[in-house]
Amino acid sequence: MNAPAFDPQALRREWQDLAARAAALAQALPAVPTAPAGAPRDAVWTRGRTTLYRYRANAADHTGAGRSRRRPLLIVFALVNSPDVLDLQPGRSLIRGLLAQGLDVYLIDWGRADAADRTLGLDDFLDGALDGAVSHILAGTDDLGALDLLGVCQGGTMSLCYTALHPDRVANLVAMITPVDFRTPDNLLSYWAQGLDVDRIANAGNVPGALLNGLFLAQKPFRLMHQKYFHALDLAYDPAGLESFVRMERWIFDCPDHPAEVFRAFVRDLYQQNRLARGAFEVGGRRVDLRAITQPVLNIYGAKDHLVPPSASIPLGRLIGSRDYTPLELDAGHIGMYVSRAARALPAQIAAWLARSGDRT
Amino acid sequence: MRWDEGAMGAWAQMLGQLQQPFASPFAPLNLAGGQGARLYEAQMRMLGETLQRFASGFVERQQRSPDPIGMRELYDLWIDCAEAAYAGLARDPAFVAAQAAAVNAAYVAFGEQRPGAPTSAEFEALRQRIATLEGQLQERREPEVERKRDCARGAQPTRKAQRPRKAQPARKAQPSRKAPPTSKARPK
Repeated sequence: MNAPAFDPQALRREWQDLAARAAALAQALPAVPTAPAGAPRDAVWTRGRTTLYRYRANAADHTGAGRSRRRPLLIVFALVNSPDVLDLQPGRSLIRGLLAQGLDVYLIDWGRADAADRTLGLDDFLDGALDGAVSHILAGTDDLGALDLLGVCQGGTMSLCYTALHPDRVANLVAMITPVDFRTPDNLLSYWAQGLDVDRIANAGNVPGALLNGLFLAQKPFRLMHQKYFHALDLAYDPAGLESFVRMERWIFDCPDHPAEVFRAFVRDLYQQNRLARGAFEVGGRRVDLRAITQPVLNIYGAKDHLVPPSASIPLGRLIGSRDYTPLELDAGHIGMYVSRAARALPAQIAAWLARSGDRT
Repeated sequence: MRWDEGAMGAWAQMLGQLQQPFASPFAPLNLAGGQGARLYEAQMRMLGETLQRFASGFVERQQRSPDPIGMRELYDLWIDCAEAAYAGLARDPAFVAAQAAAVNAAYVAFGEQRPGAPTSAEFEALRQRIATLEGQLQERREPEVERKRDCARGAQPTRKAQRPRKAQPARKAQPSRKAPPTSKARPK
């Protein structure tokens, strides 16, 4: 005879435990600290909504390969989310990790688009804000004509375009979870984008951040909108874990609206027509030729990334003109690239690669 | 026994009723070619496949281990099955087309709700005007910032602070290089 599938006593105990955890969680949640816990930084330059931050270095913390490096590192994040995920809290911060490696870290924060920004195109962000920030940083160095660029996600694609259009301004390029081939078979986001009437959506104005976030969550709806919260019960008696969870949740649901014209360019030209990989993408009337990227390139992607699958990032190696190309695959998903165990070694890996690449242009 | 017969069938029926509110938002969109109905059908197909996977997963689990199944394990099994079923659905061309049609149709409704909204051309004109002002402001502000920075360093203004920057702060102040919005870019 088969053993019974359920043990009523055990089920009752489990239910009681879950109920107690739910109550404890409800009590703990309001007390979870949510104040910004990022590394100290200064706003050193602004243009429009864009702010350039420089992180304060603590020389005593410097232990890594970047300690003797003079060349600044500028991080370019996506427009679809806030860059806070790069520095959520101590212990879960790519930026703190880079600082600890001795790097001089800058971050460009695009700010939040409002309705008046609906006509801003990629050229406004690249030739305007980003190039302005690069100029400001380089003006603060004595003789460096170029800086190191670290582009993340959509910001990675933007960094590729910027580097191709302004190759003399970038010494080394790090592309992190960066899509370059937008039409690979396992790219569900791309598959979904094919039927969208992009002009209709973009003509209606900026695309609500909540809509885009919904699209991302809909990639794995049961895990991301159900199971994750059920498992959060495990954090009821773990204040540190709960704080990390809440900070990440706040970031996930903090989605700025997406400027309409950039949305049009990304979805129509890239997701639908794959123009960047085909060498036919234009920014401000200029063709983006990835072969113009001849500087050393480090391409970091996550083996389990469902939003930017490895197949979307890996082709970068054959599309650029650089002979100094290093792929780096991490055993992580899209979010895990910022906070997972696999990502902990990332700052040291980036710093070591930059040190190897040297200060040559 | 098939998944949709017996107790499982009753369960499926009940869950199907719970799914009704998910179908209703598509109705006002008046999707062409019965795509709203197709979306609903696709959801129901996914539910059926989830149940099927869940039933066989449950049996497999029982065969694998004699230990009683806990609530948490049961819940995780349900999620695994639902996600696997959804992964198939998410790539179904009919589902993808219907989903895109739903978003497109929602935007038709959205556009209709905003009569009198400024056009792209009007926004562009305003943006250029603001960009000009920002550029002018930046031009005035930057020498002042440089001066304060030098004072804070306790040094005389450096050669670097005096020389013109590589970037042109007034770039945005110049007439936009961007072509005026094409007819395609204007709201329909």
